[in-house]
Amino acid sequence: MLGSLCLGIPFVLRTVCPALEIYPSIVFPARATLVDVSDSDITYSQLELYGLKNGNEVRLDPISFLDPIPLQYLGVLFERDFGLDPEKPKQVYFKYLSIPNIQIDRSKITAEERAETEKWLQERLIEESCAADTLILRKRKSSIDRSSGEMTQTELLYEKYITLD
Amino acid sequence: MRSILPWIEDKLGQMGRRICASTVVDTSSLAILRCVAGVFLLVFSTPYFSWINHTPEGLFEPPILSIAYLFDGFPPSWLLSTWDITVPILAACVAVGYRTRAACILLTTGNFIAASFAYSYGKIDHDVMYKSVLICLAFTNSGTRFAVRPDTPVSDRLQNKAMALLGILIAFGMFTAGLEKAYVWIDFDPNTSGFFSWFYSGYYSLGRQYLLAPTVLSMPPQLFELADYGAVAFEISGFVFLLAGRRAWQFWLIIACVFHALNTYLLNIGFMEHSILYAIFLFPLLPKQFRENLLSRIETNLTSIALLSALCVTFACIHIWQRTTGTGSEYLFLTEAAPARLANLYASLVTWTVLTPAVIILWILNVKKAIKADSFDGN
Repeated sequence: MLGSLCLGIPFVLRTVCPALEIYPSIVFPARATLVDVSDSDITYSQLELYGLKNGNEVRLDPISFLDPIPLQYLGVLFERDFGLDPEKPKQVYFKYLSIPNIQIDRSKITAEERAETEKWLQERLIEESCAADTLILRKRKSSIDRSSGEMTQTELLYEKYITLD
Repeated sequence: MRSILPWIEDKLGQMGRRICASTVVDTSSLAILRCVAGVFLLVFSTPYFSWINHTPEGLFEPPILSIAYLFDGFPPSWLLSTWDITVPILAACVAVGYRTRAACILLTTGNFIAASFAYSYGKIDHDVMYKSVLICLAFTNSGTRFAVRPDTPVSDRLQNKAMALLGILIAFGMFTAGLEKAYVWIDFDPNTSGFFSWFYSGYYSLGRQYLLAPTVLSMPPQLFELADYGAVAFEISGFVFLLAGRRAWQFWLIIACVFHALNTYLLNIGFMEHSILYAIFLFPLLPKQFRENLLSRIETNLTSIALLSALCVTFACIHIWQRTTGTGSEYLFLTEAAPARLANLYASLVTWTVLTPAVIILWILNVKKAIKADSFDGN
């Protein structure tokens, strides 16, 4: 009985509210989402990082920019502007239950932590041969024609210029 | 009510016995696989955490229900560095069988605590099964044979229970991935696809464009509707096979190997670490005589123990050298993120491509042998 609870409770919590996932627990990734494949276009969203080189925007390779942080964490870091936007609350949503989404204030980063994060980002930009004062975050929804492989449409969903002092 | 409780207890007891019968693994197999798991750990997957200290505290946002949430920030660098040096030593202890039980328990506990901090950037990775296998091996006799310092034996009953627990964890883990998919993916609508929701995000956002991934784009997406149903059926059915008996359980694990092989080729998602979990239950497909002879030979041959020990000590030393010079990683020799990702993918490719046909052939041979034996008994 105890064993069933140890396995079952974390699973139920993760299923109804991913923000309440327990670690460690025996839960595998589900990502139970669907995409429409009837269209002649493939639509996907993409997170992009840009720096400035000689005044021109340069797209950064997320793997080397984030290193040593694994690439799969880009989404969550992007979501909170690398911790630099203290006003951006965390969205906690519930699935299969009629509970409205709630917003939780993120723990405020101190001035010291902010300076450390900015310095870290600046170092990353310099390593990519970019100016150290600007990092641009963009989220784009793009469509590609399935037969020709050419981009047919692109829509900017989110854009943020982070100024690093 | 009084009559229901004993009935439930009786049924649970029956289920427990069935699961134990499906998952029983002999000590000689466990000893060999303990050694394989240790070497695998040292080469491909030696947990490494010091990288956390090269990232700013401002990124610390642990999950609410995790060990790391009890702390204000990342652990001090001396603590993670000490653990990172301890990990290869413990992995070498597991491989050569030096205080195996203690090494397994320490390694699992320490890795879970350290991983809580590695998952404090806002996302939890799901490599929990591989981290759990050592804790299950700790309660078996895997460290009593082919070991530099053999452990005190435990009862067969405890060993069988530990293996049953590992089987339950594998089946339950897969079930947690499949249940929600069953609710969403089984829609009998060929115009929607669950497979492609994984494929597109991996292909376009995470650069998973290797092996057969590009060919997926040129295939009619409706073809993959069956893949959705197949994946759901496989993921939620582990317990049925676990309860159905030993051969059925091994069959389900073979399907798991095929599933991971397809994921590696098409989605570039390797999960190579799971091969060790499955191998524990599939290794007994090899003839008993062969396994016993193999173990007896290497056990009585001092050169093989000396060679294995030398190899593991060398691997551990290389890791320690890499880690103390600031170039540590989970992989032996590889330090950069991009080549490590590729190496993991190609190592997964080799693992699943070799393991899958091998276990399919062995399983068929075992079934044939059993049918022959049954017909011989019948006559």
